[in-house]
Amino acid sequence: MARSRIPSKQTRMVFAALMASPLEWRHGYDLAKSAAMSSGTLYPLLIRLHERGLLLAQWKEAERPGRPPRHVYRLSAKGLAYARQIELTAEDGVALSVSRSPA
Amino acid sequence: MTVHDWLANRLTHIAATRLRRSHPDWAQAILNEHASIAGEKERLGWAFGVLRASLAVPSHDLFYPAALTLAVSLMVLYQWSADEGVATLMVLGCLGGCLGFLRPKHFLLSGFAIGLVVSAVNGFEWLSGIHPEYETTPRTLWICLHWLIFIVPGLVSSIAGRRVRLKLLA
Repeated sequence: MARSRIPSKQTRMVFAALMASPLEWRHGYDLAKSAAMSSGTLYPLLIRLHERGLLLAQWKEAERPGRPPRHVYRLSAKGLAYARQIELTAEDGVALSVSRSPA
Repeated sequence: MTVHDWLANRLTHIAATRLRRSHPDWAQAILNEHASIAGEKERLGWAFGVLRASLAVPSHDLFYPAALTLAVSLMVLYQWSADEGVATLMVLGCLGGCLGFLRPKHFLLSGFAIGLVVSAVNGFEWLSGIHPEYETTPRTLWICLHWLIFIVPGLVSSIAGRRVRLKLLA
């Protein structure tokens, strides 16, 4: 059974950033800028969310030739449901009109 | 290559090396992400961050088993060399707290392992007849079972260590 826990402020911010465009694959640097947090805070959160099945991750070919593929992320169905459950607010830095729309 | 870029590269590679064993995909992800960031100051800031991330992410290496073995050994050594009392409780609390802090996920194992030591040492004395010189009370099964009570402070201390770690990470 999944443990229910109160998400930290940083977790909420990551969810808010991902919910701004829930179907779009986002890379780490972009997410860090959107969520206004450092990579040191972001990556442990992404890894944890991925391990809990809330986040999908895949490799995407780089847009510019000669660059390595990038790891991109978006919320899974479970993650989307969880994001709605935790009721993100403007304080989490989310574009609320988008985040509250059905997936 | 500038000093900034050299340092950023080194830090990112250290972070990736640390992450590779437990999270190989994520180690590659931070390396590739680093290569895609424009601006040397941004890359350096990113590199410091991923190094911090690699330290914060629990790795599935031998660190925890080694720490647990060391903590249990210290507890056995202490229990063998000194009589039970408040000091035992304090040593047990410190070791349980440290283990709970090191691996919040394994707090139950940490608490039980540390808490069982006192009873286990008494059990060894009872079964083998070997005991420290200062120990005059003959060991019985009841005494061994009685000291299982130390599992409670073991668990309490590991939970406390876990809570501190989770607060720091939140």
